[in-house]
Amino acid sequence: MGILARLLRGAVNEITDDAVRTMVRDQYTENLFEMIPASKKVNPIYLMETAMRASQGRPVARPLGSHLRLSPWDSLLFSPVHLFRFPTPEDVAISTATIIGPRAKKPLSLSIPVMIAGMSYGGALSKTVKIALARAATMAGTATNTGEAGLMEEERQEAGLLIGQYNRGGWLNTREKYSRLDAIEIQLGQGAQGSTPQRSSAKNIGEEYREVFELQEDQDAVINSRLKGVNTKEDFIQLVKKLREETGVPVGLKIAAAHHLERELQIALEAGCDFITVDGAEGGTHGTSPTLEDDVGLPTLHAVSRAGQFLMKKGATESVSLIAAGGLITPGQMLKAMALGANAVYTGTAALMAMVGDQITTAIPFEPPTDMVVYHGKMTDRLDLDKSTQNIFYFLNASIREMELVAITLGKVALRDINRDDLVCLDPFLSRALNVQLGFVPPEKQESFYSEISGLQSYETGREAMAERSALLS
Amino acid sequence: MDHNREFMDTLTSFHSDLNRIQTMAGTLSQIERDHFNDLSKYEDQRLAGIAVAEQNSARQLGEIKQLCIAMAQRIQEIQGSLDNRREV
Repeated sequence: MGILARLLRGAVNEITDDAVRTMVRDQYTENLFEMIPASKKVNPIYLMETAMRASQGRPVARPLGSHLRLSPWDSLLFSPVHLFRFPTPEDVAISTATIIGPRAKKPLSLSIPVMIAGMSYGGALSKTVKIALARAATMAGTATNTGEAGLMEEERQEAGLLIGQYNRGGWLNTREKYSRLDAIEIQLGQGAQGSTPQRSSAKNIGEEYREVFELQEDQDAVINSRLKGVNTKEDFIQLVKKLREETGVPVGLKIAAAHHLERELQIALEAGCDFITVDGAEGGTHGTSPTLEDDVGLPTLHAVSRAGQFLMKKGATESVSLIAAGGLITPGQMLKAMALGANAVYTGTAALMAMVGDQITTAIPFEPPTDMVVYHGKMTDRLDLDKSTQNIFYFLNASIREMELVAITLGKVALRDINRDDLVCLDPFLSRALNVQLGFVPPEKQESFYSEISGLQSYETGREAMAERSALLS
Repeated sequence: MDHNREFMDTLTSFHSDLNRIQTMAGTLSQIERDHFNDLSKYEDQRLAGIAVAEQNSARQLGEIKQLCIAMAQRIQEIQGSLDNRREV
């Protein structure tokens, strides 16, 4: 051990000893250690955001969406087969293709059921990131999404399949622009922030951003809570009809999942939407208020299951595609969403994390990795376009391969054939709600299990009953 | 009448071509999958990268095959309905 290392070791030892001695002897109210229980009580995230609110006097904009994992994906498992049905032989190709909007004149045909989520240029991401996402999606045979933005020429050129958001800012809502899309997603809300308005200040808008959004020099970029011209259900129906007739591409609706889900979906069906995107409460964002992220909406798992069951009940599963979005991070979660009824899923946050991947060392430890990705980031020029493209493409490929492996062990030859019957649930209430069998008991005892436990008394009721019986006996 | 005959012949030709493309896509997809398996045996980073590209190509060729099958079926349906109309 060198002299310097020995000196350092000695210094660390002295400092640690002194710190521990101080913490043990000091009054608790004067003790630095009180930070530990205090932050555990309040939660370090809430503690820091409380301080940010106090410092800034306005809502803080937390990036990437809620940290809460509201969807209990871990309560679902796939069921492999061995004899009663055989696994798929390994030399059989697993079909991963899916079609969005099969009854549209020009359906959107995808090689894989994972698409890049709507994340806007300018409002959220840098131009390099948008191009990398478009290139990687094209390589994988899937679609990318404009997000709430104008039509960026480079993105259109790089994306083989581009879904454009007909948005509440109005930046893509002219025929000249939406006629160049492969699918149109009418964006009325998003999981992370419902249907709230948003504003990007003109001072933060650069020249290219202004061009894409067709803004004046001193004009803010504003997303309204409502879509201009859509104030009644009939307005929405007319809009969907118009877009379908004018373009022939699939026209869909994107909403933040909420408890009114079925009522919203009913209107989407009446309007003739080709696809519906339900964005769960875990959905990502470039940044919005923690209250909107943590306390508004419906978890993705509940939303996709309810939407899937609703479309089934309405006999619409063959004609209307369901897209699940919102905090789907792992291939397992994505596949479970598909088993519950989604024809495809969007990946946003996970794709961005994959893209940064090993380039993270460029930013840390002094800057957050988001600084390389977001439009306003200080390090966007340090992001390597080719490396980013490869990272996203590899991430998509690996994710799909993991799904194919699940399909093999389920004895399926296509990802689209995986359904609720291939799942088992570890929670009795969730099992009932999702219409997925409960793992505690064999298939033939599912119904009798529930009727048996419905007769069980709660602990309190049981105690009262025993007390009554004792009183009678005495 | 001649136009109808010509139209039916064109459909038959499309149907035949689609079946051929479908077979080719299926064969190429299988070849790409074999390449992926072969290349995956090596530790080399570059070969691993090519293997990923091969695996992805196999998937997209698989999709082309499915699209061709769907289109060929649709053509058959159109031919069937035209035949029925002529008989009526």
